[in-house]
Amino acid sequence: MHFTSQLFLFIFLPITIFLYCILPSKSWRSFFLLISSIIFYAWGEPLFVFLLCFLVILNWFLGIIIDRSIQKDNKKIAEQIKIIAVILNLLPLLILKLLTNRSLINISDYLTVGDLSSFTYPMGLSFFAFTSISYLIDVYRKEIRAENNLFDLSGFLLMFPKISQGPITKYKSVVSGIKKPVVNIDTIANGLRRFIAGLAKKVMVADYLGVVSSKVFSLDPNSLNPRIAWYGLIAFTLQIFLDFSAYTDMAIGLGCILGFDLPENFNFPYISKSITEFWRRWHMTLSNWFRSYLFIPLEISRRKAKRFRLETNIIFVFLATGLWHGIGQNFILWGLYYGVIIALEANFLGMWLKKINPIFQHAITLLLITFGWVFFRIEKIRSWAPFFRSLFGLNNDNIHTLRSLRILAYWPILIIGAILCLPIINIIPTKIQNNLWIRVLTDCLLIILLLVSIAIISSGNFRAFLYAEF
Amino acid sequence: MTKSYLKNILLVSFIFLIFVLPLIYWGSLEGKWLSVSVIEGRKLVTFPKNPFQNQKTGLKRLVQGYYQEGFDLFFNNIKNGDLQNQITDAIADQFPLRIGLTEFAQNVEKGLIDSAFSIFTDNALPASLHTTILVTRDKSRLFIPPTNFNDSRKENINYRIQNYIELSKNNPDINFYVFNIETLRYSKFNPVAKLYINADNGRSLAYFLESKPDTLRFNNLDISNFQDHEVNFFKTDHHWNIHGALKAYRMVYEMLSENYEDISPMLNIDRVKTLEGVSFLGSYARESLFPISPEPFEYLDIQLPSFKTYLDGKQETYGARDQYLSGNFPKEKYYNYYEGFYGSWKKLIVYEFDNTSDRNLLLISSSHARMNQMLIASHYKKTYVIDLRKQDAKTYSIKKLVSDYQIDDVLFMGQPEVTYLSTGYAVSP
Repeated sequence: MHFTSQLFLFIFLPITIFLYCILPSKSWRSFFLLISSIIFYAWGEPLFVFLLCFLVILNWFLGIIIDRSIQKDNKKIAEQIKIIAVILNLLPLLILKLLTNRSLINISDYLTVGDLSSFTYPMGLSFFAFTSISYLIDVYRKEIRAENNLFDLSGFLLMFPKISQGPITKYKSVVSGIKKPVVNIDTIANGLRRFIAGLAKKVMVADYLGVVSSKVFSLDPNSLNPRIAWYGLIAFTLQIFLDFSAYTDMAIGLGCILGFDLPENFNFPYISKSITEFWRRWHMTLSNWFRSYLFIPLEISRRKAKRFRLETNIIFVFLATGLWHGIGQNFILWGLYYGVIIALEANFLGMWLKKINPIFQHAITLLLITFGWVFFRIEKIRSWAPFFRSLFGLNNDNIHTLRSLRILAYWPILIIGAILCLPIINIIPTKIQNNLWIRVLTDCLLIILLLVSIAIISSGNFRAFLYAEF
Repeated sequence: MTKSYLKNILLVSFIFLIFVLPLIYWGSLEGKWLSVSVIEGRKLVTFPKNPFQNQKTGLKRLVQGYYQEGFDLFFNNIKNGDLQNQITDAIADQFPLRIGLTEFAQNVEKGLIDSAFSIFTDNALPASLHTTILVTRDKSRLFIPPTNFNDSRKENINYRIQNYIELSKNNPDINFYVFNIETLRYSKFNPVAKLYINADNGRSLAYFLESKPDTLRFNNLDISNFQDHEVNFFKTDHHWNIHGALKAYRMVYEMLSENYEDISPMLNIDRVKTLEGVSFLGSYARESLFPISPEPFEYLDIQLPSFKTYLDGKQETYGARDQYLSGNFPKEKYYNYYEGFYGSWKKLIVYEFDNTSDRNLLLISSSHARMNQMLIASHYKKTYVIDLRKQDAKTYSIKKLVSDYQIDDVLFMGQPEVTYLSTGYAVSP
């Protein structure tokens, strides 16, 4: 079930919010949140929901054992269980990524499990695994106590606002919301505002940009002229941010409605002046996860290494980041690309960048990010060079135009998308932002955006019968 | 504080109302779901009556100890997503004001298109973001952009030429005729042809004519300027109009006369009338939902010699011409009057005219032919009309058709796909 589906918006959401708000006690709400989250997940993944439920119970159990071992000062056992727990959480992730990656290996040739061609990677498993690992390691590090209440932990791990695309949330940041959710008219109103903003961003901007990027990237990269290649690449650069941040807006909004504070995931990443800064602003909960649970432990364990320790650790972490996104070669190389740049920035490149004009800092960073999306978006590595040749006008076989591809009409959306990547809201003085009439106007605008978004979503299944030329 | 609180209550109530309105609407229908969408020409998906009946029964069987059966019943229709898909599709299809909302969304998108093209001087703009359909700058006519001419097209044309050669070789006593309807997508007079690098611009037809066998008699309703298209085709539909169809009838008659000396005189086709009460919005308008003004639906007022029609073997009337002329026709916006008036696709239509002719015709065509096929058929004893759009051409053999139906002439009539482009129209010799 997706947040932008009619099923979610007009059946699941109103029923869930209504029942959640009228339930009398915290424990009932906790139980109801768990049930609704299971239904939410099972709707799209009726088989994998059992795997997730099993992992939840396993993590609950392992968390308690780790906690008890720590309390009994039996750190060695706690550490061994922690390692087993991490492996048990990563194993399904790895196996399923392998099974669903047909470009890497045709696994069905080696296994007698029948046809795997229709097999798809289960929604949100990567987010679930990282959230679970974060919980278990935090218990091990004594940052939190293990959760004894299975419903509370299940509610946290399977929470429907964040199960499919995050944000990757630390248990300690939402435990108070789980124990005592604050639900009142203000939190519901603020949550709805954030949710609608995200919905409109996704439906009215990101999805249209997706049409452009899909069209351009589905073509033979040798057949593109520079105008089309840049148009498609810029559209994808904007789409991936707006789509993901819109989802996060909706997740945070839903969390707020249910009385939880989910963490922010983006902080206008495209205004960064370096790649290092970009990764502090992009998918922040994932970056924080890798910093807390991989980079810092690596730095500590390899503290005695004298040469290239930091650089190799950075590269390793970004390789893992690439792998997290997908097991394909393009994701691994995409991670490596960022690892190398950040390792260089940690040395001379960073020093040089700081010395040049800030406008050039922004421009260079943005260009590097945009080029990075080529590696991310194009799975086949042999298509990278032709695409870059297209970007620089070095291909001669240009058979398409923006008009023949029917993407010229989308340029105003690209402008709107670019504006949404800028922190314009921060420029507006707080006094004006807090003005009652301005806020009323903003609410009216949000309602209009909601209605337009609903109309666009509803038009999605319009299929007029036409026999092309017949 | 109070103002802010009130404001939040109002906002939450209003938004909640928006979210629950569909639930209220569906509840009010009491299971009487909409079953057909006229504009889309399709059946709508409805909510299943007892969506979770299998799960209920499955649970019962599990409790009773029939584990295998219980599991199968519980999971079978949800593990492959059938139930979920049906409910999701039903929500979409039964959504309140679905077509109105779609039109509204397309109007928002038209605003986007207008603003995007305001800085360009193109002759035409996209009519919608979801279709290939274009609209002339003055918003008076819908049409589709040019198609590409490339090696794959050449291969198809070569295939068809070879097929025509084989047809003639294997059936030397039969006269083969081809009547092509040049459509805007293959014409150099397409208003946006210059903006498309590989536009056909009449090249595919030229390529065909260059290599077609000399024995194949060919004629063409051509477009020699955009006005030709405007005169011969609907402004909101992909079909030709009655003027184009009648012009074609004259040309086909002349072509057939060459080998048919005692052909009956050409029919009097001067009385073209407008069907009162019909506001025609054709396929392009239906698909793009572009707010274009409807056009008149004209027809030929003619009394044909008496004839019988057999549709897929049964004697029936083809089309609903008589009902339409007596004012009995649907009034819904976007109704497909072309199909309603002239008739829908049939595997085989046989016209049997009460005349003195001893010749039979095989007409291989598409929906365009519906407008004038009975006029052509009036010059033959029997005319067999085969529309290959939904059939495999290879299931037919001209040799067999000739022997079964005593065919004398074979006419391919239609747009370029029918006459020289689509391999799907290459009938076995």
